[in-house]
Amino acid sequence: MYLTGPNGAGKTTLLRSVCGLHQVQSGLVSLNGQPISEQLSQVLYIGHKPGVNEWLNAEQNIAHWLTLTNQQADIQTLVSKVGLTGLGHVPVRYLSAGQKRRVALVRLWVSKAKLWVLDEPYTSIDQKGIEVLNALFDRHKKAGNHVLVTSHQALPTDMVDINFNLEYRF
Amino acid sequence: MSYFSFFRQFLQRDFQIAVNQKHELGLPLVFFALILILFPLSVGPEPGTLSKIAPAVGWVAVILSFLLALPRMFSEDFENGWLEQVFLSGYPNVLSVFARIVSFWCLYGIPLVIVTWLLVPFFQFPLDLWWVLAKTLICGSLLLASLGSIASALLLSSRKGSSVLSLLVLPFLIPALIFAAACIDAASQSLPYNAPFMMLSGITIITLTLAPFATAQALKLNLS
Repeated sequence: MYLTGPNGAGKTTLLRSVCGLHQVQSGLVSLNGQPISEQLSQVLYIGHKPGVNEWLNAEQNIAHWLTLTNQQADIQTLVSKVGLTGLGHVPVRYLSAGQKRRVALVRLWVSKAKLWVLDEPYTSIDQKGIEVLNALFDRHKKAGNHVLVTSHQALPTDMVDINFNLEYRF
Repeated sequence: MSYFSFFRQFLQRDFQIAVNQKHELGLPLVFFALILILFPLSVGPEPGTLSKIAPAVGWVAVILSFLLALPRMFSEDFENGWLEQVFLSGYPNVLSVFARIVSFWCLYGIPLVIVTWLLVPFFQFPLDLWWVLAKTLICGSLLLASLGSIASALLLSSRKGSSVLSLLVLPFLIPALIFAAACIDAASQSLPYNAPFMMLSGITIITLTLAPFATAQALKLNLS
C-alpha cells in the first residue's frame, strides 16, 4: 500500500498508529483479526528516526537490533549488502546521511515480519539504492506479505496495489 | 531471548555508548570534583568546620552533579528512534527502563560515590565516617536514578525540561536526605545507625521497584 498526501495530512501519524506507537482515540488496529499490540513481532517499523545510535558503529548498531528482535544473521554480510563494506567499524556519526539510513534499512534484509511499515524509506538514498529497495519490497510482496510505504517520491505503478491518499484538513 | 539476556544486552549497549562518550561521562565527575576543591578554599582552613559540613557538601554535590546527567537518560534514544524499536520489540518496557536505571547508576552514581573520597583529604573528613557517607550515597544515588528516570521520561519531549527536572526530583529526595543525615550524625557519635540506614534502603528499594512502571508509562506517553 502506497500512502500519499501533502505535508501535515497525517501520514506519519497513521503509520505510527498502525504500529501501536500512537494511541488512537477510537477504533482498533488489527492484523489478521488480532490486535496489532499482540503481534508486534509481525511488524517492522522504520520511521523518520532511524533507531541508530551515532556513537556506535554500524556493526554494533546492527548487532543490538538483531539481539533486540531475537534474530541471527552474519553482520559482515549484511553490512556489505547495504553497500557499507569497509565502513562497519566506523562510528555512524562519521557516515553520510544516506549511509546512516542504510544502517537502518539493513533490517529489511533480516526481518521476518509480515508487515513492513516504512515512513519515507527513500530519504537520502541514491538511485541505485532505491532500485534495490524496490526489489526488496517486490520480493516481500510476492512472498504474501505486506508493505505500507509513505513517500514523496513516486513509486512504480506496477508495485502499488493500493494507493491511499490522505487529504490535508485544517 | 530470555529476559535476563535482554537486560544484559541493554546494559552492554549503554556501556558501549558510554565508552564512546567519555566527555559526557566525565562532566558530572569534573563538576563534583570542582565543588569539593573550591569549598575548602572559600570556607577557610578551619578543620572542625570543614569536617562538620563535609557530609552535607558531599550529598548536595552528588545530587547536583547527578542532575547534570539526568536529562540525558532517555533523550538520545528518544531522538534517534531506538526507544520506538524497543517498544515495538514486544519485551516488557519496564525491563528496558530498569536496565537503563541500573546502567545509569553504574555509569554516574558509583563513580560519584567513589570520588566523594576526596572529602577525606580536602575536608579532613574521618575515613570511617566517609564509609558511612559512601553507603548512604550508594543508596541515595540509586534512589536519584530511579526518581530521575520518571522525571526524565516525563520531560522527554520538552526542550526546556532540564530546569523543571530538578523541581520534580528534589522534593522526593528530602526524606532520603534526612535519613542520610541521621545516619552520619549517629555514626559521628559512635552510635548505631542501622535504623535510619534501613529506612533509607527501604525508600530506595520501593522507589526502584515502582519507578520503572511509572517511567515506562511516561515514555509511552511521549512516544505517542
